Amino acid sequence: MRFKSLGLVLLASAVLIACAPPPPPFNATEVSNLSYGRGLGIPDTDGEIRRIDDFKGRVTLVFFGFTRCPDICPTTLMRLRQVRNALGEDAHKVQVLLVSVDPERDTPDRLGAYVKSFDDSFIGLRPEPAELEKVVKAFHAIAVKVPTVGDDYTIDHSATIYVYDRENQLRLIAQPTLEIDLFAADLKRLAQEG
Amino acid sequence: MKISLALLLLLASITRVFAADPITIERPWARASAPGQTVGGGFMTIVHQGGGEDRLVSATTPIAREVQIHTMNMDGGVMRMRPVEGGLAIPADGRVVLQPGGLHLMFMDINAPLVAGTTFPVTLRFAKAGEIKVEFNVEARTR
Repeated sequence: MRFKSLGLVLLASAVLIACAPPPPPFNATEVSNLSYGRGLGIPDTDGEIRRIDDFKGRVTLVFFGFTRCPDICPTTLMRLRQVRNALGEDAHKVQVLLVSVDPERDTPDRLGAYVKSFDDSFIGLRPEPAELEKVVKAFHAIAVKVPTVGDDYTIDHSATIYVYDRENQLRLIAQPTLEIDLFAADLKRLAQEG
Repeated sequence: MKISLALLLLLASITRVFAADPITIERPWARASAPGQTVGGGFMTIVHQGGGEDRLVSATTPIAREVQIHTMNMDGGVMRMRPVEGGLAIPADGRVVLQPGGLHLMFMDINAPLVAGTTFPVTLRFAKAGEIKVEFNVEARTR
């Protein structure tokens, strides 16, 4: 009898453990075992070489843009500032990196002033023009120069945001339209891991 | 006497109908530029109350070298921006919204930073409605 009830208790606990809900899915797309951009060194606007692995302990967001982009790039930068601020005391654990797809026109000074004007913590990375293709490929991203009027051109580019966890593992790929509170909830979880 | 008054009123109402602008511009605004930024985006709603299609053919402003009309779309996570070829069609009795994430005016090579709280003039040229001058409000970068 006593063994029977013990058995029941054990069975009940096993059932409870098995039924423990799995962690809810992230709002952005979850990825694993992708080493996009890892180990790649890109100069920042002060000329210092930066790697994703330099930001261990922080949740690192990488995306592509350029200063002559009138819409999506400033919109994304503004939104990322709002997302970061929404994390409150964990905000300092989030690092935003903008990689220029237009190093020919984005001089270090111009890119630096631009990025910092959205948030002083943001860092602009400027690949050498000859390195740009390699950098873009390392993220399986796209950046294509498209002539517009006269000598002018625009650049079709990936607008997705790559999110690395505090161990520098690529964990999420977010669309720039992801709602601020949903994005912030994802980053909060990653910031509080480990 | 009564008849002439009625005639006058009728004439006045006709004149009003003809004088009413078929195209009006609602809420023209531009984002304050960021340091280092040499271009700006302009947004507005074009309201067409006339019959037949019109086209926004071009625009000029003293604050930039050139104004381009652009479309922007996201295609599989890739941002693509293109000048609108042949002008932007404005359907009869329709509205065309230029807003962040879509259609916009692009001010190329601005002469000076766009500062929140200031305004600047833009002349829009429509194929039928002709020139329309509007003041764009520069708004802080909050959206």
